[in-house]
Amino acid sequence: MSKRIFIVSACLFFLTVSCNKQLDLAPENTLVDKTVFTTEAGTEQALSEAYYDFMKAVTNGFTYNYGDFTTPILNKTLYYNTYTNGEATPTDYYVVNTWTAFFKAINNANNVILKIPEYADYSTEKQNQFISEAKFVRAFCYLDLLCLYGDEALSGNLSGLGLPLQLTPFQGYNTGEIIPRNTNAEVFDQIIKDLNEALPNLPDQFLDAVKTRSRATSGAAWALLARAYLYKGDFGNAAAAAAKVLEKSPAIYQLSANLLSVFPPNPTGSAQSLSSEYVFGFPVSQMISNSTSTNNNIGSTYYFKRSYWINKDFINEFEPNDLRVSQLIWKGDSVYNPNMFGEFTTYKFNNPNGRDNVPLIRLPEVMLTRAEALAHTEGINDVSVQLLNQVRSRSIPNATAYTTSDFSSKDALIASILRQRKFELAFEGLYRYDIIRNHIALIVPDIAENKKVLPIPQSEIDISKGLIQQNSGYR
Amino acid sequence: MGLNDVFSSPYNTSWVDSVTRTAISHQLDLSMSAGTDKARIYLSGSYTDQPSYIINNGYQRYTGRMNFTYNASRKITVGADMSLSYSFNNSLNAPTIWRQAVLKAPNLPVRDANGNYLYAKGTNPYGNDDLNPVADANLNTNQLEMNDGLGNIFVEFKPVSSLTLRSEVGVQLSNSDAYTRRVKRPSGLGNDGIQSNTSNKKYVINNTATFNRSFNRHSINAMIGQSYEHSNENTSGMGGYDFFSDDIRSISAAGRKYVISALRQNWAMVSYFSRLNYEYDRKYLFGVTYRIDGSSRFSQNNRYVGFPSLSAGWRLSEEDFLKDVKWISQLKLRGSVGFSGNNSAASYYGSQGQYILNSDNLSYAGVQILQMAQPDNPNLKWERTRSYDVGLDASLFDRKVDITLDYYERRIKDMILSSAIPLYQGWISQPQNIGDMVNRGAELMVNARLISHKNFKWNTSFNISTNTNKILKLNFGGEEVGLANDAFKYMKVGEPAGQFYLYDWAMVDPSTGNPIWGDGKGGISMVPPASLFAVVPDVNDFRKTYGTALPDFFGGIGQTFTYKNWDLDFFASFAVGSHMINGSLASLLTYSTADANNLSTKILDRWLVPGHETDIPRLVNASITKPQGSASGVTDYTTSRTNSRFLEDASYLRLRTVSISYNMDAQKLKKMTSGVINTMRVFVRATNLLTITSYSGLDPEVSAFGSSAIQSGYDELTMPQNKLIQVGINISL
Repeated sequence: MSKRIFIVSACLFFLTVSCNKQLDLAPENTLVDKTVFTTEAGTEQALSEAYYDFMKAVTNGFTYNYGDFTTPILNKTLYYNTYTNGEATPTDYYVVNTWTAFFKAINNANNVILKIPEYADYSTEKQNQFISEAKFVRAFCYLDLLCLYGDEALSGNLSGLGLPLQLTPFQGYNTGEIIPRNTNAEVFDQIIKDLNEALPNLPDQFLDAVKTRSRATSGAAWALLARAYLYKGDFGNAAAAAAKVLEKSPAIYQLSANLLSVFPPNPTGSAQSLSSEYVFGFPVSQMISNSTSTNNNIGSTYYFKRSYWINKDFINEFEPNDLRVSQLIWKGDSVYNPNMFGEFTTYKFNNPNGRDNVPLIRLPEVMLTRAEALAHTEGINDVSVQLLNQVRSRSIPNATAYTTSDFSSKDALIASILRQRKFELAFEGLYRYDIIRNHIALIVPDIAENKKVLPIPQSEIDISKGLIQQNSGYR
Repeated sequence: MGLNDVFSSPYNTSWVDSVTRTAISHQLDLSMSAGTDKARIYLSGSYTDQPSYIINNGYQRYTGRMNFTYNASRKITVGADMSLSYSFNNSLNAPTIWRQAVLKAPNLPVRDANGNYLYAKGTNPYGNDDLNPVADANLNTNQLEMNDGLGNIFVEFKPVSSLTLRSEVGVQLSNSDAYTRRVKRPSGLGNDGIQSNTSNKKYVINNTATFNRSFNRHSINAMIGQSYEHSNENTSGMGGYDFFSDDIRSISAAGRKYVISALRQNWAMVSYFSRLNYEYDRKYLFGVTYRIDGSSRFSQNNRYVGFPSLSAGWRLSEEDFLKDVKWISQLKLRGSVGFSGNNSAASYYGSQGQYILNSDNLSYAGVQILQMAQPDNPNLKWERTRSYDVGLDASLFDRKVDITLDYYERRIKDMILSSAIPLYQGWISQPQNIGDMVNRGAELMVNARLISHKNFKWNTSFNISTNTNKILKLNFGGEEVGLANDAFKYMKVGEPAGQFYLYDWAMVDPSTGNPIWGDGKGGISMVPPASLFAVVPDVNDFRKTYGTALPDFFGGIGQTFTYKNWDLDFFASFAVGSHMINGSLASLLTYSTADANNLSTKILDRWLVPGHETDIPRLVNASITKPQGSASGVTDYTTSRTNSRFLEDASYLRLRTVSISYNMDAQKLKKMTSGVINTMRVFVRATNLLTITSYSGLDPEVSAFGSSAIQSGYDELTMPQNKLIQVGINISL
């Protein structure tokens, strides 16, 4: 017996002496760069996160609504004064959260852009498409950031401080490796560069209709480019880019005859399609996960009118019989918030649980962008008036169409286009930026130009030892 | 909150009394050993029942153990150890219930007129609309059941007397079952449940060869060994919503169900180790060790790491010049130097970026979302520690007094801490090698058998330790910024880590009732310095350091008296020089939020008329400002944890345990039980009976966020340790 035990003991002793192989264990639940980016499916899923993070940055309960509640079209509770007065603190929750969320999306886009060339093992065409989609997301995020944080970026100060241009994914932080803020002009240039590089490789449309309107297409890239040029004040390029989108109408994009097919009634929060007016938007109503349904964080605020509600002066500004009043303005909640039963809200986000899709670029915006840009470059012209009429008559079917003789000057035409833009795009997070770039009064009329942006989060200034500078209105 | 809001008071509920109780705990221990020349066996079992002082919460544990050895021949021994344990913990909700009970408005009843739990805020104009800690304690479940089985078999073979070969195979099986269930509240919230099961299988193979030999004046003890450890973990979890009745417990009966996790993962570790100890003439001792560890958690390049250590000793008492000194029984001087490493970021694939599918199975436009769970961290290095230790062991007066004195220094290089990174880089924080630090300390232990008569014995023991630490290098150059928990702690080269870094709350102005702030440079101001972020270049200039949360020195004193069959034990511990932010008091003095929580009676002493000298400012004062972008529309600088108002000295002396026990007379016992029971001991033990401290909170030892230098020192309505009286019985067969 003793011999046998000795043999067993000796065997055990040598059995495990060399076991480097036994240390090569692979986990089941996580994937590393190589496994993700080698395949087309893995890359597309990683890209999906970039879109999703971008969506979360826009629908964080602040970003989208900020474009409207800071303007005279809404009344609001006192809580929001801090944002409309330019007094938000650099440690404010939304100031920090919004900044962080956009840069998280940018990091994911950067990651896709860098890792595809390193690992991809599938068709070059697909690789280029994914890289281009990521560049689209990055450009969109930077344009939104510029609107929110760029020091006088939309007021025409192109040498003002924009954002740090972080174009590579995070790969460990080396202390002191800080990118200072680039100028507004440099950020605009990067946005334009990204979109121009993306354009040749983006599809006109996807096989799946939802993807055509919620992922980057050449139409969406041109439309975003038009918006970027318009915000930068480069009207010639804005008009040209917008024209590229309008070329795809009616093949891909069409003005819907029925407003309620663009903003469908959605009391139960069911899945809604994205109408053919969507150049780009988030398909929130279709996003259902195992345990929760995605919330756009826009709908409930408007539905219950707890934070803001429509300024009645704005309703009175519309022309008579405008369907955008009769169909898209309603009273929302009639059960929970009795103090507000008499007030009005938008029907564009009518689901109380935030289950509606969120449009970011609709065809009418592109049409009015072209109209406005052409009016700037060519003065009173037929194309501008025609585009203006198309948008207007869709909602006011019996209206007498404008003719060029209706406008006494170029400025009168532009004013009319901007007015239509305000009616058409209200509550879609854009009006604030039209106001700022045209020097029209915000809800607080006499606010200084450098207070028309948010402050940079304090932690960025602290960690960079001041290399990242605070916005001039908050120093 | 409006000044004229009325909180009527038809009720005066003590929520803390409603959720607490005097609990009775029990303990029973049983053990037995038996053997012959060839075989020995040992059996033991114990049962502990420890109800929490929070109602309907508690902890139970059963354990059993068996050791068995058998000498197969003179050269071969085989054996097996086995232990089993089961524990049931349903006190996981207790900290939350405690906190909610302390804060809940006292003018609300536990139950409404119909006898149902009242969750709403009643007639109060403000307050949480959906909270009832008594209902939570009684109706909700949050429990963890654990089973552990540990088995070990070994073979020992001695081919010659100086050499021992030992092989050991061990298996550990653990199962845990966590279950959470919340009943449906009137608001519609709750009504959900989560169940998760984890099973862990681990096996270890250990092989060692030990060599032991003395010849002439030389003595050698050497060992080489190798071990392989493999762990397999299996987790599955599921959740459910919308149960049609609160009595339904099974997740499978939920209206909506989802899978939280279903995962199997492994890790393995292989180690090689060696030790050589050499002794000459019983006077001089030398030792060397070296071990290499390899882990599956690292990529092949960083997989193996080896660390040596060296030690030396000198038994002075064996030298001729001390041999004849009667009162020195033993005197030994020793010293060592050792190296070790740590990589706390050691998850799978350590430094590589990792991706996981969105845990909720969410898709964007039909494409599943693959989330980046962890970014690349290629710059991360091993954290390395170099330790020196010198010590003295003495045994004096015929071994009646033992003294141990130690002095150590531990230098940590490339310390790994989760550290803030610029937000524009896409992440908030990441483990970084943020700097070098040194810890130096001394420990003294004295144990004296003062009286050892047959019927009366008195033992006394005393220990005291001190530790100082200093940052030697810091990548951030100044204070650590960013992270929530660290935000109020200060790091600077040449100073101790984790100092409180606070705005200076000077006093309450007796003439106006407004807080007066120090500006950090000797001046004072009526404006809260923290509010000046937009006015001055660096608002941190107004802050000062206020020492650390760790004590300057700490230790314990124990006394044991034995009289015939009776034992009486005392043990007290102390700490001097520690600091704590009394966030509990800050919460109970916060009235500027819409939560309308309960307040401390100290609020009655608020400033009322000019000339009133008090610590509590007037209710509406210049340091509660409006509007600022906080959720309530008000920024309350008076109760912020960033100011020194609530920093207190947390030194204490605590009577940790007192126990009295009675050992039954062994002879009588054997007779009475016909030899079945060998010994029997009955005891009563009291824990935390008395605490002497100037700290005004409930417990100077709590730590809300963790125990490290950076996390400690916060009392945020943290559950205090309880006073415990235990009655127990030990039986050995």
